Amino acid sequence: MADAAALPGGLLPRARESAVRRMLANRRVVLGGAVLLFFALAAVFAPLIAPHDPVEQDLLLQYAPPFWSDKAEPGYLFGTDNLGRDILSRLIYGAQIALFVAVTAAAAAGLLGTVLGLLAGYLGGWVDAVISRLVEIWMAFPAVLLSIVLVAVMGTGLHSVIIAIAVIDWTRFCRVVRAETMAQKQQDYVASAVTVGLGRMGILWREILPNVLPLLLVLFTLEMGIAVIVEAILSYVNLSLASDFPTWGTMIADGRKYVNQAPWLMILPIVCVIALVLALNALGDGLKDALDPVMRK
Amino acid sequence: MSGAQITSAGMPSNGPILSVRNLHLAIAGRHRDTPILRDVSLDIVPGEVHGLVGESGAGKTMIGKVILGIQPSRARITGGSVRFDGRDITHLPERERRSLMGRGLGLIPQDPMTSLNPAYRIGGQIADVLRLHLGMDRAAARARALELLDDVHIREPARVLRQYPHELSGGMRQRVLIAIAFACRPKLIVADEPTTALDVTVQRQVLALIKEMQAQEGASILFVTHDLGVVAKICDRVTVLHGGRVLEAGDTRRIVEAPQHDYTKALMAATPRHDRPGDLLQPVPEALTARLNAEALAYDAAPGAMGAGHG
Repeated sequence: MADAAALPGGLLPRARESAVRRMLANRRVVLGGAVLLFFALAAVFAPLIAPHDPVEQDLLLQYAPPFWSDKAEPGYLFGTDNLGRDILSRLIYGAQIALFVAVTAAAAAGLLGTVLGLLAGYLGGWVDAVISRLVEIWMAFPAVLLSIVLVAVMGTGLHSVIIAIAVIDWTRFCRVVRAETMAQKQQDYVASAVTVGLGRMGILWREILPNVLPLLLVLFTLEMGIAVIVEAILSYVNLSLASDFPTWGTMIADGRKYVNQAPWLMILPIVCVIALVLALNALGDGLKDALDPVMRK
Repeated sequence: MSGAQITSAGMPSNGPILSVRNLHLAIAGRHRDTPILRDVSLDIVPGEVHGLVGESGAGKTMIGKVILGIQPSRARITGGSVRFDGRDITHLPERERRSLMGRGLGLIPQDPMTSLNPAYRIGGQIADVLRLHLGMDRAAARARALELLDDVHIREPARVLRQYPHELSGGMRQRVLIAIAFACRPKLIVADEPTTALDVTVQRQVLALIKEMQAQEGASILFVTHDLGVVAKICDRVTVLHGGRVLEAGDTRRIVEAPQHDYTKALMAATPRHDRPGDLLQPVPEALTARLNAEALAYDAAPGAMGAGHG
């Protein structure tokens, strides 16, 4: 046999590249990613693509039906609501709010949960005991109730919604990151890092954290889906933005009153919430499958 | 340290770089402690390759871990000392121990597959060590990393620098780990069964490489293994361990050709020899193992009463 140790590296599979390929080969990643991209583009370019001002009222044009109806009003693709506001424009701006909340809330929850999870998993002992008990106590509270209480205390508004989600959902990140950190800590590369003289915090941030990142990406995506729902719930019960601002939850709540005359007022924002949440869940699950075998090998 | 300080027999002509004296270690249990090391003593002189032989559970890996300060948290040193370069390193504060790593002590680990961080490129992992201990800047560290990969006979070192660990074979990874161990020119390297996880053809190359690097850099090596055949090839002196006790120690030639202790004889009979191809291999007799275990327990009951022989 030829010198096996000196085989040129190019003959071996390049698994990192194939991780990307594996992601793109995963149907859920592609489909979920496409829907997410669609909403993201709508949100980013809202001022350019929205045909009307989302809060502009036209009382002569109430309850205009969507395009599939014979009585549809030209220029109002999804019709208008009880105050004659353009539904399409409101949905587009609603996507802006939904995604902003999803990203910031998931990032805040992820940051808090990851830091505590890393410390608990790596340091163990009393640090782990304190953080783990805290997580358990936290999870004993019903999430929706806790979020309503938090927002009621902090006052309504987008920042309250974001803080409420972060404060409640950090436990999701914390538990998973803690377990993964404990698993990584047992790996020989951590012992090797000790023998080259890296300190404890250096090992945690520079050696372990990068190996937890793929997992964080999955958790982050799933958490965005949860945040979208929570934001919709809170704005449905009027604890998010002022009601004239077009969040999907507010639109659902408003539409409920006119569900007999104009069912599309309620149906369209519900479709948006479901589509975005399903997309995020599919993306998260797909990423989990695509990243797992590579990183665990 | 240079290899010039060793005499032909490998005996100390100078103070030892590492001196383990009467080391006792136990794993703390719920009710009582389990002794792992019993009165272990050994010296390693500069430039020496010192074999530490024994079967599973003999405590050989634990000795390596104590030297590197990576023993499990439940392991307690209950007596004795480990002096490296003249000072006791068993109870060093964290900061001082870290400064000892890399430039003073290094490790060639047992399992090359899991000992490199999967998240970083090879070049980064070597350069990190150089920057941490030698304060090199990015460019200098990269240049030195390239040189090190060349030293350990990796073809196309520039390409390997950019690769991730999973892109390399086990033998290649062990070469990288050897490069990292020697990177900061440590005085002592603990090689913890460095060839066990490799297949036979690669084993031979890696052994030759360790020997070559050791001769080139002049480091001392504590070579932990269960394989007397490997010991005969690479070590100047050997310490034979069983049940956490030193049974015999001495020059490799003397141990291999004229073992004194029954256990060493049994180990030799269990090792294939190219100079006696016809011999059948004998497993270590159960009666001998039982006798040794009884001796170890008797030692625990009355420490010091039983003279554990030093070579």
